[in-house]
Amino acid sequence: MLLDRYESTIFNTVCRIVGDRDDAADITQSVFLKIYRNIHRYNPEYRFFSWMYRIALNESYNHLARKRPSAEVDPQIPAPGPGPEDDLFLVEMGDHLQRALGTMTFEYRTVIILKHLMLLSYHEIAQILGLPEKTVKSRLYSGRQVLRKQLLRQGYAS
Amino acid sequence: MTMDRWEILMNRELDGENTAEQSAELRAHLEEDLEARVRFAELQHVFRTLDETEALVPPADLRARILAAIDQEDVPAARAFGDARNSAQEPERTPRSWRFRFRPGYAFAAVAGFLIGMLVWQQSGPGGPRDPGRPGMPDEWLRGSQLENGHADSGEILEVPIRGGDALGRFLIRHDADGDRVTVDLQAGRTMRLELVTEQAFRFEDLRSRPAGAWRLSAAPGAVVLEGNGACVCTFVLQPSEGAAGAPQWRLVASGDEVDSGRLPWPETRGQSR
Repeated sequence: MLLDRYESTIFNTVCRIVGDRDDAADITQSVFLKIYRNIHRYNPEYRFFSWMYRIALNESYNHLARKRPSAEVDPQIPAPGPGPEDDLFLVEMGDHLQRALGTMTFEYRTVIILKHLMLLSYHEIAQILGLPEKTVKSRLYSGRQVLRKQLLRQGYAS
Repeated sequence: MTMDRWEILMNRELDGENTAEQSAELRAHLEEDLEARVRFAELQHVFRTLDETEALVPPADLRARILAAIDQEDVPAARAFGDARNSAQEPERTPRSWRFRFRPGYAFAAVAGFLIGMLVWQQSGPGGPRDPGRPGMPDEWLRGSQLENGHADSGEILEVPIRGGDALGRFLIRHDADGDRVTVDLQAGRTMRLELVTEQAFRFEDLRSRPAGAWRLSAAPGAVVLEGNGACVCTFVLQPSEGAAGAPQWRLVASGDEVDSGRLPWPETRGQSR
C-alpha cells in the first residue's frame, strides 16, 4: 500500500532532481528500503510524507554528491546537468525545462520541484526542508528568477 | 540574489497571495513600466512551462524490484509495502509451520507494517489521489489530519455536484475556522469554463492545480476561473476577509452557454446550496 501510494511521487521527485531515469529508479528503491529499515525511527508527531520526502531528498543529494567526487558538494553550486546521451530522456521530461533545472543549484531546484511539480504548499515544503516558510518563499522566488533566465537563454521564454 | 519589491509582488500575484490592494498596486505599476510588464510576462511563462509539465511514469519493473529488495530483508513487513503476490501461490501455513517460522523480529516488523498502513491511511484518506504522482489530491488534502496551525476542523466534507453539457464533477468543501477548503474535481468532454465568483472580500489562497491536457487556471481576488477540457483537479482555500458575506457563486459555461450553476455552502448558507 505504501508503494501503491508513493512510488510515483518519490520517483517523480527524484527523477526531476537528478535528471536521470535509471539513477532515479535506483534511488527510489533505496528510499523505500530506508523507510522500511528506519520505520522505528519515525516520529509520529510529524507527518509521514514529510519524513519520506526528506529521505528522498537526502538520497538524491547524496547521489549528486557522489557524481562530484573531486569536490565537496555545496548545495548552492549547480549540480551537473544531463549530458547529450540523455537527449531522448529529456524529450520525455520536457527538454528545455529539465535542462534549465539541471543548471540550478540543489536548493533552488528542490523548492521549484516541490512547489510546482509536486504541488506542495509552502507549509508542507517548510516542514520537509525544516525551514521557515518565509525562507522557502524567498528561495522559490529566487529559483523562479534563475529558471526564467535559463529558459530565456534557451529561447523558450515568450 | 537581490529581488526588488515588484518582483516579490509579481511572484505573490501568480501564487494568488496578493491582497486586493497589492494586486491593484502591481497592475498600476505594470501599466506604466514596460520593463516590468516584460518581466511579469516572462514569469508567467515560467509558471505555464511548469504547469504543462507532465508527471513521469516509473519503470514498469520498479515496483517488483523494490519488493524483491524488501523481501530479502524481512517478509512480513514487506507486505505492508504492497506485496501483491497471490496468496494462493504461497505454501499453506499450518500452526506448526507458523510456530517454526516465528521470530520476534517478524512480530516487530509486522507491527511496524501495520503502523505504516495506519499512518498512511490516516494521512491520505481512503479516496486517494487521482494521480499517484501528485500528492494531496483531492480528498487527502481535505482530511482533518492535514490541518495545521490549530485550525478548527469539523471533519465534515460537503459535496456539490457539477453536471452539465458534457461535464461531470464535484466541489468538495470542508469548512474550518479560517475558511473553506475547496477541491474542484471535474471531467469535461469538451472545452468548458468554470467560474467561481465571490465578493472582493474573499481571497483564494494556496491554489494548487493538476490540470491535465489543456486546462488553464487563473485567479484574482474575487474570482477563480478554470478553462479547458478533459480531467482537472484544483484545490484552494477560500478565505473571507472581515465583512465578507454571501455564498460564493459558480457557473459552468460551454460554448458561451451556461450549462450549470449554483452556490457553494458557506456558514450562513450551509444546507442551502443549489
